[in-house]
Order: sequence, then structure tokens, then C-alpha cells
Amino acid sequence: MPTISEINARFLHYIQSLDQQGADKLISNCLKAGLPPEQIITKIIMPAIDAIAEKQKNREVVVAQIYVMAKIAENEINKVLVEMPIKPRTKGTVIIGTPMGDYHGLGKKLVATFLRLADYQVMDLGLSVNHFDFVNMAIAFNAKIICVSALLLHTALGITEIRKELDSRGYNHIKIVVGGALFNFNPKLSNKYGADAMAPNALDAVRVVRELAGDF
Amino acid sequence: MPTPLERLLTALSHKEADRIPILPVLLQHGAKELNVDLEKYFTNGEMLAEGQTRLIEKYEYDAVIGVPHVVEDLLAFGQKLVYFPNGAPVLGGMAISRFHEIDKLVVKDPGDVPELRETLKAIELLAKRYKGTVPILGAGIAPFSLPSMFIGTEKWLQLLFDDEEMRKQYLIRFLEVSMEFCVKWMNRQLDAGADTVVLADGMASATILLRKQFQKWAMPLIKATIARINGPVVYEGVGSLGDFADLLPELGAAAAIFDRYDNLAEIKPVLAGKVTIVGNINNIALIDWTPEQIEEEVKKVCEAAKKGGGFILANQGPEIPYDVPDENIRAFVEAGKKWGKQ
Ligand code: B12
Repeated sequence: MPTISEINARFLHYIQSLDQQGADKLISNCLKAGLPPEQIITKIIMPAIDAIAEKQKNREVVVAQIYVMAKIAENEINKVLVEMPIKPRTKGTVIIGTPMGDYHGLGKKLVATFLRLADYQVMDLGLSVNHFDFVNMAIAFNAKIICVSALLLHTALGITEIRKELDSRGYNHIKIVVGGALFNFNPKLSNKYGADAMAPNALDAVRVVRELAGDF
Repeated sequence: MPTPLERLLTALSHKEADRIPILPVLLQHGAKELNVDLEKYFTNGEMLAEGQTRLIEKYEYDAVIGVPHVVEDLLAFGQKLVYFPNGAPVLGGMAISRFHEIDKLVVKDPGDVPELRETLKAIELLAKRYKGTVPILGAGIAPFSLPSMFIGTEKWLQLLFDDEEMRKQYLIRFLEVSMEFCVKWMNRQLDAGADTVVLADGMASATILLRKQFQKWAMPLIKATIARINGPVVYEGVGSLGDFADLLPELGAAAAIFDRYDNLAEIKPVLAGKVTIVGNINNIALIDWTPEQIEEEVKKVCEAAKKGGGFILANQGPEIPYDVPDENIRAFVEAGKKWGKQ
């Protein structure tokens, strides 16, 4: 049986070469060998995700790779989860969507996937979401964070509407986290639109959500 | 003094004129000049031409643009647009939601879409005024990126990277449909009087694709498309293109638009004498930069890329946002005149 760090390196290699089959086989073997599912997730899959996200931060990997890698990681986690006796405790609910009129869905999808992988319960409201729906769902599901992925300037005003709606209904403890090309090109905009924080990529999105909400 | 067209042609032939050509991509500010709302402006050829005329007279830069935005391409695919008071319209939804529906997709002739006819009218009017003195630009979405707009970005990536069965069955169909439309639409714009067309290819940029994916999927398609377009093409990454710079000469494009992550000083020697560099002022930051900051940024890119010609000063991305104030546009153009002297 190879050591955890050897398995680790191999899993990262499979993910980076976009080799779903290799990853599948490795994780199946780990399960067969009796490695605790919990450990497979925290010691093998999560570090690989972190490593990739770190590379994205340095612009060493592109969206197409992250998209496939996140998918492989998600598949493997799902496979391992089935083997676990009780569902792991989740860290709480996060609402995510794009503002009304914005149909760029890729960034949202990646951020939602990374948040899920980090154990958050993610309610993905989809594309072009009305600000009332963001707020209603956040209240209904007791979410502490609303994530908005915005690629177009003019539809990003939906973020301001969410803020207003939260404030006027007395829910100003619910925080808004934003991201998307706009904020990467001009981070000041996040404040201007009434968000509490922004993050430039999916890994930082998890960090920022954690900082704002804790492991609630 | 050379005309704007002479300036552009000089830049494209990698020589120096009195100064570099300056091209702020102003698609929306004409509506402000005419005091009309954007929906009206975008869908009226006479207004588009008049707006472009007022803008170039006001700021004195080097090209006019006949196209209001590239989202209108999707009208030919039966999609609807939702207009906004302060930015480009967005799609009201996707044309198809499943891969097999591509076979049922009816693509209209550009001449049968009222909004596209108005765009052609704008180009014709601009040609009447400016042909031979000021370059007239057309634009459209490149075939590799079009599918992301009629089936959605996520589905498009799924087809490209994820779903091998579906890919075998449908990829070629998607690209074929997109390429046929794109070639036809660009040639119509050239026939109407455009001097050059900009192909916006956000999904093929280095923001999204790996180099080998770009080489395998996007490049052959871009080459074939450009070969069928009857005029010079400006290739626009919408995102970053720096990592593909050495591949760009193969495309057959006269020029390429870079984004602000791209290092023009590094790209310049790679493309010198081959492909003209266009870019790359941060369009989103133009909203709240001070005129002094803008001058600083313009100075930087001019110093990085103007030597020997082959450079056009422009913003990154497909437009200068509606909210960018007039004084910042003025600062951009004036800084270009000052620091772009050759
Ligand atoms: C691909 C692309 C296109 C393609 C496809 C668009 C589509 N609908 O799928 C084409 C060429 C067709 C296109 C067209 C247009 N585009 Co476009 N496009 C892009 C491009 C290059 C990439 C977008 C993308 O998918 N990125 C990949 C994803 C994964 O990255 P991301 O969204 O940034 O997400 C990451 C982070 O930002 C972060 N993140 C994302 N969401 C969230 C959320 C939270 C909560 C957090 C914490 C983090 C986070 O994590 C993600 C993972 O790392 C961007 C420029 C860019 N560099 O991003 C322009 C861009 C979005 N487009 C822009 C524009 C203007 C347009 C047009 C209006 C052009 C025109 N004038 O006609 C049209 C209209 C599109 C429409 N109405 O939908 C502008 C928008 C700015 C503005 N002015 O409003 C941009 C920013 C380009 C620019 N520099 O100006 N476009």
C-alpha cells in the first residue's frame, strides 16, 4: 500500500492530466483497501483541489482545466460520500446566482462547486435571478451569505437591489459576496454596488465566505 | 497630416506615421450625444451613424464603428434581447437547451433581421460620409464563441471537454452552423462599406482555453473563417491572448486585441512585422480612474508597443462602458495623442 502522500501525488497528477478513469481507479482502490472515507476526502481530494486552485491564482491553469478538474473532484467526492455512514455535518447554507439579465454561468458554477467541496450547503438559484428571490431564499434557508457572480456592469446593479432589500427587511446581517470579471478588473466596484466582500477566483471565494461567516 | 485611414494603414503595415491610431471602442456614448435611450439608439441605423459622427468630431480619434454590440448576432438564431438603460442588451434566454436541437435550429439571413438591417444601414451611412478617410469597423461573434450564446457557456464547455459521445455527434454541427452565419454576416458588413471587421472570440481566449486546446479546436476554425471573409480581420480575444501570441500570425488576421493581463512589451517582438497589436487599457477601470491615472496607463502601453508601428491604442474588451464619463474618454484620447507620437 503506498503512503498517503504518494496517493496524494498520484491523484493530483490524474486530475491535472484530466484523467477521470485514473482518478476513479485510484479512489476505488483506496476504498477497497479500507482507507476511511473521511480521510480520502480530507487527505487526498481536498489537498488536490487546493493545489489546483492555487495554480489558478497564479494564472497557471485556465478555465477549461479548472472546469474539468472540479468535475472530476466532485465525482470522486460523491463516490466516497456514498460509502460514509452518516452525511457529514455541513457548514451551513450559501445562496448563489447571477443577477437579473446576466447569463454568464461559468464562474458561478465553479464557485458553487468549490463551496460544495468545502462542505457548504449551496443553493444555486441559477442564471438571471431576481433580487427578491435571492433575499427570499436566503431568509427561507437561513443562509448567512448570498454569493453573486456578475460579469456585466449594468446588470450588476442587481447587487445593490439585494442590499437594499436585505436592509429594508431587517436582514442586514446577511452578507453579500461578489465576484466575476468586473470585480477582477476593478475591485472598487464591489463596495460601490453594496457588497461586503469580493474574491478574484473560486478558491478565494471559499476563503472569503469562511472569513465572513465562519463554519456556521 | 495623414487622415485616420492613412494612420491605420500605416500601423497595419508596421510602419510609423505621425502618431499611433487611437481607437476608443465607443458603442454606447453616441446615445448620450443624441440624448436618446439605448434601445432606440441601438436599433436605428441613422442614429448609430449620427452618434458615431458626433463622437469622432467631439474627440477626434481614428475610426468609426457601425455595430451597436455583438449580442445582436443572436437575433439571427431566433433569440430575443432584453435592453437596459446603461449597457449592452442581454439575451432573453438560450435558443436551444439540448445538443440535438442544433439540427432544428433555424438560422435567419442577416438581411431578414430588422436590427441587423439597421446595422448595415449604419455602416452604409458611415461609408457615405467617411469612406477613404476614416476607417469604418464592423464586428461579430466568432464561430467558436457563438455556440456559448445559443446553448449557454456551461453546455458549450460540456460539449467541448466533457461529453465525448455528444462531441463526436454534434461538435462539427455546432461549428458549421456558427461559421456559416459568421462568414455571411461579416461579408455583408464589408459589402455595406466596412473596411475591416472585428471577430470577438471570448471562448477561445487564453482566459478560457489551454494552448493545445486553442490549437486543436479554435485555430483551424478561425483560420478557415478568416480565409472566407473578404476583407481584413481584427481578431479579438475579449479575454487574454498573450499566451497564444506566437500562434496569432498563422490565423491570417491583420491585428489582434489584447486584454490588460497581456504584457505588450513581451508580445511586441513576437508579432513585430506580422500582426498589429491592439489594446489594452482596462475598460472597466476607466469608470473611476482619474484623468491623470488614465494618462499614466496610456503612456505605459504606448511605450511598450508603439515603436516601429504595428500598434493601435484601444481599450481592452469589446466596449467602453456606458458609465465612463466624457472627461475620461477625452483623457484617453489626448494621452494617446501625446504619448503615441512617432
Ligand atoms: C467569453 C466572453 C464572452 C463570449 C461568451 C459570453 C457568454 N454569454 O457566455 C462572447 C464573445 C459571446 C461575449 C459577448 C459579450 N461580452 Co463578454 N466576455 C467573455 C469573457 C472573455 C470571459 C467570461 C467567462 O466566461 N470567464 C470564465 C469564468 C470562469 O471566469 P469568471 O466569470 O471571471 O469567474 C471566476 C472569478 O471571477 C470568480 N468568480 C466568479 N463569480 C464569482 C462569484 C463570487 C461570489 C465569487 C466570490 C467569485 C466569483 O471565480 C471564477 C472562477 O475562477 C469576459 C472577459 C473576462 N476576462 O472574463 C468578457 C466580458 C464579460 N464580456 C463583456 C461584454 C461587454 C460583452 C458584450 C456585451 C460585448 C458587446 N458589447 O457586444 C457581449 C454580451 C454578452 C451577453 N449579453 O451575455 C465585458 C463585460 C463588462 C461590461 N462592460 O459590462 C467583459 C468583462 C469583457 C470586458 N473586458 O469588457 N463575451
